[in-house]
Formats: sequence, C-alpha cells, structure tokens
Amino acid sequence: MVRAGIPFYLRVITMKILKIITFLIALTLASTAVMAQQSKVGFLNPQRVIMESKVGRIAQEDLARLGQEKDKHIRKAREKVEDLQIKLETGTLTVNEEGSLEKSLRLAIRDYEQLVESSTMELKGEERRLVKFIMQRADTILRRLAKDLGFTMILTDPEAIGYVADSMDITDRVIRELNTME
Amino acid sequence: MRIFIKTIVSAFCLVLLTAAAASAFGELRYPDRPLNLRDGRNSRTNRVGGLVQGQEVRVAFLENGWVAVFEPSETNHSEDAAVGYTNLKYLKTEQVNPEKSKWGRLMEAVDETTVHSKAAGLSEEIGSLAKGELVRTDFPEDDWIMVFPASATIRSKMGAIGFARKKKFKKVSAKNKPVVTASISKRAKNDERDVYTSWGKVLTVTGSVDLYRKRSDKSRRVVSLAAGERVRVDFLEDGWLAVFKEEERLRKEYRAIGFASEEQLLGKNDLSVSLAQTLAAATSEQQAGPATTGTQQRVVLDKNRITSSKRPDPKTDKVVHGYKYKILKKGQTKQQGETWITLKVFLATTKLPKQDALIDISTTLWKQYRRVSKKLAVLIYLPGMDTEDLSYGVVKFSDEELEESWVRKTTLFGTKFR
Repeated sequence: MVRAGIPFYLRVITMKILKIITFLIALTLASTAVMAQQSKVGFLNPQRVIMESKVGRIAQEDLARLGQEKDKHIRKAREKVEDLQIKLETGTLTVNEEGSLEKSLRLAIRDYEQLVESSTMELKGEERRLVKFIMQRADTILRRLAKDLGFTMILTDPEAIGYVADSMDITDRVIRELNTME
Repeated sequence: MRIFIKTIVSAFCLVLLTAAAASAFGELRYPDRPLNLRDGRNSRTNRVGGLVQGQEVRVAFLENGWVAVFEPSETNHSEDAAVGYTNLKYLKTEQVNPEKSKWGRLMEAVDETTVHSKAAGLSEEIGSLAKGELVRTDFPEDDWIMVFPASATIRSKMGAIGFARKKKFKKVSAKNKPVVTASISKRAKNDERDVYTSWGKVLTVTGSVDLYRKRSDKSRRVVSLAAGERVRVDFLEDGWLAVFKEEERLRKEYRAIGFASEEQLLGKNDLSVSLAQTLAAATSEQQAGPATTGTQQRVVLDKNRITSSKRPDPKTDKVVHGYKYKILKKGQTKQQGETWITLKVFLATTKLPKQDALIDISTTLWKQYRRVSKKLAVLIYLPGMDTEDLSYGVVKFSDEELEESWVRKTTLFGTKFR
C-alpha cells in the first residue's frame, strides 16, 4: 500500500540526504578522535612552582629581606615625623619656632609618604623580577618535558582550567627537576 | 493589555521605592520635648548638644533604647556620621507643635581659613575653608569658635567640622545667604586622627579597580578607579581595604569612598609580600637601580635569553679590596624624578662574598663615580651568572651616603655558589 501525502521520489531523496549526513557526522567524530589522540595538552601550575620549589622559597626569603630593609627606612622616617609632632605639642615654642617646626613636619610627612609609596613600588617590581627569573628557569625544563612526553601544548593559567587529569599535570615533575638543577 | 500596563507601572513604582529606600537609612523622628544629645548611649555621658521639640532628625542604630541621631539629609549609613545619641522613647513618628531650631550664626570666611581639631593654634589642622565660604558657627571658646557646615540643622558638637579663629569670619548679609555646605568634612567623633595625613598608605592604582560599599564584592559597586589614580588606603580587614581620597585628612573609616580587595589594589604586594599570588603580574623591565612599576603585564619569557644564558664569565681588569672585578656597564637612568647612575660590576671570586664585602667594594666605587644630586646603584654579578639578568648584590647610595643593600640568593641558582 502506498502512503498518501509524501510522494515516493521525495522519500527516496530524503533517505539519501539522511545517509549522507550520518556519514559526514561519523567522519567528523572519527577525525576529531584521531586529532585528539595526536594533540596532547599538559598543565603547569606556576603558583605551585613558586611556592613549592626550593628556588621559589629562596626568592620569597629574598623578598622578605628586602621588605625588612624597606621597613627599616620607613620606621626611621616615621620616627622623624613623630619626634617633630611631639616637639610641636610641647606648647613652649615661640611663634617663629612653631612656624619653622610646622614646615619641617610637613616636609617630613611628605618624605615619609613618598618613601612608603616608593618602597611598595620597589617591592612590587622586585617580586615580578624574581618570579620571572624562576619561570625562565622552569621554562627550559618545561620545553624539554613537553618534547619528551609528547605534549603539543602546555597550559599555565590555573584560572582558565576547569579540569585537568592528574596525568596531564606536570607541575610536580617541573618542581622536582628544578630542585635537582640547583 | 490593561493588565500588562498595570504590571509595568507597579514594577516601576517598586523600583522607585527600592531606590529611595536604598539612598535613605534609619527613619525620621521628631522629639516630643526638648532633648539633650549625648556622646554615648546613656545619660551619664557628655552632653554635646540638643534638639528642640518637633525638630526633624534621622535615627538609626538602636541599642538599649538609645539611638544614634543624624542630620535628616544624611546619606552616610555609618554610625560615625552620627551627631549624638538620645533615648528613643522621646522621639515620635509624628511631628507635634514643632519649634523653630535657631542656633549659631551663618558666617562667611574673610580669607582662607584653617580649621583645627581643638581651640588651639598648635592643635592639628584638619582642613581649610576657602575665602567667602559659608559656615555656621557656635560654641565659642576664647578667640576660637566651632565651625559647622552651613546646612547643619542640629546643634551638636559632634556635628562640627572643627575650630577656627573668630576673627576669620564676618557676618553674612541677608541678601547674600545662599545655602552653601562647607567643603571640608564634618569633624570626627573620636580623636583617632593623626596630624596632617600621616596615616594609611598613598598609592597609585596600576589598573582598573572597583570599589564596593562594603567589604564584599557582593555589595553595591560605588565607583571604579582608573589606572594612575592616587588614593589613600587603610583599615585592612579580611583582605579588604578602605579606600580614601589621597588628600583625606581624617583617619575615619566612614570617610572612605569605598572598599577594595587588597589583592586587587596592591596585588598582594604590601610590605609583607606573598610572591606567588602576583605571579600573573610581571614586567619585562630590565633591572636598574631603583625599581619601576608600570601597568601589570603577563609574564613574558625571553626564550633567547634562557638559551644564551651560559656565557663565559667576563675577564676582570681591576682589583678592589682583594677582589678582581670588571665594570661591565655604566649607565644613567631617571626614575621617579631622580637621576640614578648604575654600575654593573662583575666580581671574580671563588667564595661567596659576604654582604659587608659587597658594601665595601661598592662604597669604593661610589666614591669614584658619585656625582652631586645623583643617586648611584651598584649591581654585582658573580661567576656563572648571566650578566644580562638579575644581579646578586644591589647596593644603593644617595649622593651623600649608603642608602641600602641586599642580596638575591635566588640568582645563585645554577651557579657553583649554591
């Protein structure tokens, strides 16, 4: 019995189109799987490299020492401001002395504030330089590992990673090799 | 269609109501008799002012039957902005037989006038009034008088801006009485102020930073700071900092223009530094005497430098304090308005020199190369180090003396000194 509605030749064409689409989908899936097998993506967590490697810890100590050095100067500048404040509050000064002390105080405060700001900036700059120094060393290891393990790409931004299999995370290996490089 | 329009109108009204509620806080109340205002929540505390019957006030922060009293127009939802405290039971929701609140005098500053925290010339300066600026004055003390914003309606010492000399003001003629609010802040309730602005930390914002109303990024965003803006920060709590205008003189949290996370503002880079957390921010800058900061950049690794890092050590040609050395480069840079002479020095040594030795060597070099009004930085490299990378020792001098010195043990990585 021939069904009324869709003509026979249309049904044949539709079936053919469906077959072609199915074939194309299968082909795409197969090629994607092959490509996925060929490209291997690894992951390195730079934060862990800095925090857990020996050289990273040394860098943190370096930075802490620089911070202490800066703190020393800041404390000294602050003490100068406080000394002037105390002198001004004694109330036994002449008008001239008071004016001159107030001027000195203003200058001391300005110096103090500039010192705090420049120290913060210097620490920030030093931190970046140290991080860069370490990551440049880690990069040589990273590139060798990538070659050895057949990675075509290694991601380093933890923020951008939703999930990574442990086997693809080479952070531990990089840290281990960094430690042995010393 | 009618239902749709009704829904839209209702929603619009709701939005308007919500917006109005957001800008106001507490509630408006009216005393049913003359009331004292006090500086604390009990009757044994100091009297700081008073209210007249029926005077409109805003109240909030109810505790033990006492409320904080604010100017009716106050929008700062912080108890620090209160002008006093009083018992809630005398404050009614309905205004009955209001009396006119008449206090102080509207005055005009005859010249630029300094406002002090106390009625004494030696007290701290907390602001200034411009010539012709209108203020309300009251509570005279000898040659001094308390200054209030011209728009103040409540007579309370806690609402004052500060003290100024009486002679600095003249009466305002009736025809010249525009309501102008004093441009400086209301005086703080507690004396937590440091003299001038020696508090907090002034910094330059290096990237766009959002400020929030509270210490949470879930609270309302009040403003965004652009790169290069200078602000003052203080009151670090739970990783959040209160952000103030750079020129802010009062160290009061309620004076903050907003709150920002420490990480966003400082890049976790305060004087106690956490290295890994600002990993993403790095510069491609070369090291020089003083560090420079710029806008934050991603770490850009120079591959060529890595591969070429193992170069032969330079040949030394001079001797100082028993150390053979070579001056690799002498340069001059300008950083933060200061001129720096930088000396890159290679030190041929088989033993890791002590920091004192580095200072001695650097001091000798400084004596040779110092110039009037120029600073000098000596960058010291050791055998096995890449002389185009970070130095081991850094010794800095002003044109008069040694300023600071430190060593980077990190740079010994890969050398025989590790």
